[in-house]
Formats: sequence, structure tokens, C-alpha cells
Amino acid sequence: MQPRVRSLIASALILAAGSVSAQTLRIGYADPVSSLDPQLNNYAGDRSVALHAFESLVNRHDDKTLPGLAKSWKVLDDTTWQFDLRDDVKWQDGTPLTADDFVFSFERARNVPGSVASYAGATRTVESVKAKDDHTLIIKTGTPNANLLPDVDSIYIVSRHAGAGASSADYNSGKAMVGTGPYRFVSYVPGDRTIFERNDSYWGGKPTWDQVDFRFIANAANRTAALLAGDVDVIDKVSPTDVERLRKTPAVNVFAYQGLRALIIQPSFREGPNEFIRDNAGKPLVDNPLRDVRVRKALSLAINRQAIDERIMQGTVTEANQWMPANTFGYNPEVKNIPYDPKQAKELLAQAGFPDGFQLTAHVPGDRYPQAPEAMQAVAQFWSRIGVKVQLEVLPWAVYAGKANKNELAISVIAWGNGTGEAAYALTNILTTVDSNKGQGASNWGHYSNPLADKALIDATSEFDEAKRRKILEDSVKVVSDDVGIIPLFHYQNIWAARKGLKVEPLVSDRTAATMVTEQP
Amino acid sequence: MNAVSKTVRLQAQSPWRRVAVEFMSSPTAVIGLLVLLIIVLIAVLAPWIVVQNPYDLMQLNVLDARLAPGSANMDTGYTYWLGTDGQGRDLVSAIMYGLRISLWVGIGSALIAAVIGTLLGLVSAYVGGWLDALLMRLVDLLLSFPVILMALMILAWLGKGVGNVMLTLILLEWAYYARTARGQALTESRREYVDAARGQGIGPWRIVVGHILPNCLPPLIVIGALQIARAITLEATLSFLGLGVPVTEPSLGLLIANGFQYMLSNEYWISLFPGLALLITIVAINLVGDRLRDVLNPRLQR
Repeated sequence: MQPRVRSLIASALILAAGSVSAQTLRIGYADPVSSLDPQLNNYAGDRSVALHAFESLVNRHDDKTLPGLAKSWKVLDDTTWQFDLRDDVKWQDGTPLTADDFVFSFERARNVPGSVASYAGATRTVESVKAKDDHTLIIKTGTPNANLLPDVDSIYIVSRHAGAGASSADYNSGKAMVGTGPYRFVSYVPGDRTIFERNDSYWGGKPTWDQVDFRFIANAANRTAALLAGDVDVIDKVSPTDVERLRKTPAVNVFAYQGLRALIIQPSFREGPNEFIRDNAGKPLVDNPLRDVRVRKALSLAINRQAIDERIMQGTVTEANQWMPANTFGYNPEVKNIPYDPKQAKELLAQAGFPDGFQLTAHVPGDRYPQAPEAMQAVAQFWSRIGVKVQLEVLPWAVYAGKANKNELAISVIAWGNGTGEAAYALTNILTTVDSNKGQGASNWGHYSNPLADKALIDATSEFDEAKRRKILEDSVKVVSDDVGIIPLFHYQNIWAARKGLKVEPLVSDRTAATMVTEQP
Repeated sequence: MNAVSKTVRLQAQSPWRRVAVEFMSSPTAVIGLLVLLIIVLIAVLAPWIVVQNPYDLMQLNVLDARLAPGSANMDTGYTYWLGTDGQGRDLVSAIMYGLRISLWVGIGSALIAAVIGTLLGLVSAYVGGWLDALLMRLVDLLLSFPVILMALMILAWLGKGVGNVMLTLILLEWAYYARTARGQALTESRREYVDAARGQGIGPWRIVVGHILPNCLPPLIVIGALQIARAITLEATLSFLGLGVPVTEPSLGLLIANGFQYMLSNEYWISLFPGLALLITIVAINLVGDRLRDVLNPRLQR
């Protein structure tokens, strides 16, 4: 009852203040939120909201790990990590934060009832989490895991005293919404908005905004319109089609940063005939031509990535030659941009026994990845020029994901977010042999399998020497690139736009939070 | 006997001529009909008059994407009079091909729905009893559902494609014809000429098809004209929602949808011109349909 009364008072105060004072920040964001429970679903929208009220052991910034609620950490042996916790952190209700809260959080994150995208992957190597004393935490892993820091970064820390026995509904109602973060919960209307207010006792210094109005606006054009009309101060995931217009608007600033999400084509490696790959007479081919590296290479060379960048994405992406963008951990600078060479592509197709090409049906989700259907139509154009006649089917995500997951398609498309900022994340999920028992290849829709890539993941996971691990990952990039295991198209930029006088700096990947926005005279 | 045959001859001669003359007396209807004929001509002749086959990926060039009206094609030099869409499709060609799909889907589905609906309506009226009750409750059910919702459900089940859109439209539209045909047939079947035919020992099917049906036609023709316009709009709506035609073969609705995202960046032509083409087509059909209703409805006679 109390939080509701508080939220009523708060909304009354907002109304009383006329429109809004200068200290209120109104953000229009794109990703749907399934719950305020920071441990329920690993969704972009959920994570963005959680960033206001909750924190984790460490903070990832690009490919670096910075202190978070832990001041420092050390590796005691291959499977034992010690984290020294800050001793000046208080929960928003005044209770001091202790190591026991971390024990509780890691326990809870493994199994939150009702989760459909759990954090189990991030805790897969964690065997036990114990409090040595109030401000020292010991994490033991089952196998050596050099990648533990990015993993624990995914787990938001919730309090034992407010969270024990609390369901996700208790977070949505505000009852369990007690965090350590810079903003405290005021109210939540599912599908509409979440309101936060400043946490004055925040350990990291005074947060910038008195009040944060975090509004869900699903449609990109509506977000742009809301910003232009002055209904919100900041919008995220600006549509490439609106960027130029916003750049020309004096009252608005556009902030574009290199992102970690890449649009990637996954050819199917399934053996035998595929109903979506046919000869020019329309009969299914007996063998899958995509299993021939020359065919895959031809398809990759036939694409004019620069044209897609300029004409379809309007300069808001960078050409991709591998799954990670430049200057990230595991990016291999020796792998060069893939040239646009239809002549060589045709020769390769002829060598593979398809001088006149073949027919191909490609699939792309229409409601998930920004401009992916448009980009794939352009790819279809380029492929048709080397004789591969493409039919493009745009499916709703729900239908598409089911088919892609079962490797029923010939060509699938994934916009892979390299969330942890290093190459092993994609290696684990989209490039190693599909094996659900090992937690491998969950999104490897084409069932690509290369023993060298599998070995690279094993080696990288147990290699604690950073330089050596980097080398292993970079080599795996070369392996996949020579093999054309995937056909990378481009890296998305993360684009925000804000009214003049505000500055937006990215925090983690493409998340959006009030802590990223500062006033700029 | 003589008097009867005279009336029959008079009726056989005059009604269609009378309709034609009365139709022509309205200038707006004549303009509508002319515009409609031109549109049909364009749609039929499209493959021979376009500069580019907008459905052949080989002939598109993404480097020509989003060019303003009047820009020139780099390769071959022809002018994009209405600009290009997001994939470098010439909008003039795309609109002509889009009209083909719209008219084909609209007229095709309306005609098939008309045949099915009329037959079911006549049977319902003539047979009566439980069959009549069953058919008419089915019609009530169909007419009481929101059309778009119904179409979305059917298409979600059938899958995309022009054929499936037509099938959906037929499934939704036959009910209008069935109800009208039934009502009309019930009135007609009480007329004396039907009794006379029965008295002459003519079989039920010949009575229904040969005697009742011709007298039910006028209202059905009016509904048909309006249903064509409705079917075209519905196809455009479904394509706009992404449930109609394939993305590489856009109809008018899909062209409008594709251009929608460029509206804020002032690339208005991608949505505007296909939208105008759709508007003109619908208005023309409705002008013709309205006039037909006026001249075919005896109650509106002076």
C-alpha cells in the first residue's frame, strides 16, 4: 500500500509542477519491458530499467571491467575468486549492503519462477557463492572460467531482506524494489512507463536528475515525433531513416556510437535436400550447396556492403568483416573488409558446379531487427546478379524464431548483440557446435560446426592469461572467416537523440538509462 | 397472350439501354467510368509500358534507392518521374504493377465471392428450413466480426501470398451477396410469374436460375461494384500490415507501408504516389458503383 500512496503523491507532485521542471528527465525508449524484477528475464528493456535501481559486482565498459559493488577482486586459484566489497553502500531503505545479499542474489538468479530468458547461462560455471565476512565474497566455479567477470556483471544484486520470498509481481508493485542504484522506484505502469526519483544516499555521488520518467514508445517514428514535439527529452534506437532529419533540426542533438550488435547471415549446414534450395527448374537440390565453402564465399563476395551502408542504412552502420566490431577483445585486425567482387563470386559458383546459379528462399524476421528486411532485400538483389535467384520471406519473429531454431531454413539472419563485449560470447552461442547440454550454440541457427572453433572456445575459457586468451579468440575469428561459417553484413551503431543542452554517453552496449544523460551548457 | 409477349419484349429490350442512358446522364459517373477504364488499361498493359520490371531483382539497383521524383537512372538514363523507393524501384513501374495486383485481387475475389454468395443465397431462400437457418446464422456470424481481425486470423493460419489474400477476401465477402440474394429471392419467389412457372411444371433449378436469379441481379451488381472497391482497400490494408504480398513484389498497400518510415525524413514520394493511385482507383470505382445503385434501384426512380 505504501509504495502506491507514495507513487500517487509523486504523480500528484508532477502534475502540480505544471509540465515538468528542468530536473525531470523524460526518456522515450524502444525495448519492451517484461518485468521490473531485475533477475526475471535477460531482455534489453528489462536490463535498461533495472540499471536505474540496481547494480552488480562489477561494471563492464566496452571490453574493460571496472569496479562496481566490488572494490577489487583477485583470482585465488583457477576456480576460486575473491571479491572485496564496498563497505559504504546502503540499500535504498537504509539497511547496509552485506556479502549475504550477494549470496542471496546468485541463488535467486538461477531460478526465478516464470522466467523465459533466464540468467542461468551467466551462472553456468558458478558452483558456490559464499560470504567470507560481511564485505568479502568468495565465488567458486566448477571449471576454470576466465570469463567470470562478464558473467557476474549480468547478475543484478537484490537485497535478501526485501527480496526473500518476493515474486516478480512484488517487484512490479514496488514492494521489493529496494536497490543500491542511483534512482529509487516511484511507480510502474506496465507497457507505459516507470518513474524513478533521486536516491540521495547513493554511494557514488549525487545523481543528476531529481526525477526520471522512463516511457515505452515502441514505434521508431513515434519516438522521433515525441522528441520533436518536446514530449520527451531523450529517445533511443533512432531509426536510420530519421537520423538525417534529426541532425538537421537545431533543437536536437544526435549521438551515434559504435555498437556491439552485428547483422549476420547464417547459411544452413544441414545435409541433404532443403525445400528452400532448388535448381533453376525448381526441383530441390540433392545436396545442400551451402555446405561448399566456395558457394558461401561467392555469396559473401557478391554483397556490396558499402551500398547497403549508404543507401539502406543511411550511413548509420559500419561494414562488418567479422562478428565483433573493431577495438574489442578478440577482434582480429588481420581479417580485412570483404570486397564487393561479383566477378570472382560467379567464378567460384561455376567452380562449385553452379555456373547458372540456383534458387534460394531466404528468411528474415520483420519485427525484430532494425531495417533487416530492407537490408536483406538489397542482399537478394546482389545475389540475383550472380545467378542465385532469391525469394525473400519476411516472417513475424515468433514464427521465424521457431523455424530458425530447428534449422528448417536455408538462409537465416540474426542481429547478434555481443553483450559482454568480447568474442567468446558469440563463439559460445552462434559459432560452436550445437550442444544444449554444454550450453553451446543456442543461436547457431545454421548448425555451423568446426572443430577448430569448438576447440578455441574450450581453450579461451580456461586460459587466464589475457594476452594468450586474446590470441586464441583472434585466431578463431580467422578460422571462421576463412571458412565463411557466417556472412557478416554490418555493425549497428547505437543512436540516441536528445533535446539541445543534453549529452548522451553510452554505458553498456545499447542499454538506455538516465545515468547516461547529463546537462551540457 | 399477345399482351404478355409484348411486355416481355419491351422488358427484354429496354432495361439495359435505360440503365446505360441514365448512367450516362451523370457527368461524375462518366468521369469515374473513364478513369476506371484508363486504370484497367494501364494495369493490363503494364508489362509492355513500364521502363523496369519492379518485381525482377536483377533490374533493381539499390544504389538508386530513395531518389527524388525526376531523378535520372545512372545506368540506362531513363527518368524516375515519381522517384524510387527504398530498394531503388521505379515508382511509376511499381505503381502500375501494384495496380495489377490490386485490380486482380479486387475484381477476382469480388466475382468469385459473388458467384458463391449468390448461389448460396438463392438455395437458402428456395430450400428454406434448417439449411436456410444454418446458412443465415453463418452469414450473421461473418458479418458481426470485425473484418480486419477476421482477415488477420485467416491469413495467420493460411500464410502469406496473393492467392491466400484472395481466398481470405472471398471467405469474408460471400456473406454480403448471400444475404442480399436471399432477401431478394424470397420476395421474388412469391411473385406470380414464379407460380406460373411452377404451374407449367418447370423444375426447381430452372426456376431458381432461369427465373428468380435474373430478377435479383440489379442489387447484386451494385453490391459487386462496391465490394470490388472494398476488396482493393482490404488487400492494401493487409499488405500494409505485412500480411499480404511478398516484400519483393509489393502491391500498392505494401508500397505505402514501405514508404511510411521515410515520411519524417521528407522522402514523401514513396508513400504519397502509391497512396494517390489507390485513392483515385477507389474513388472511380465508388463513383461508378453509386451511380449504378441509383439507376438500378427502382425505389429511387422518379
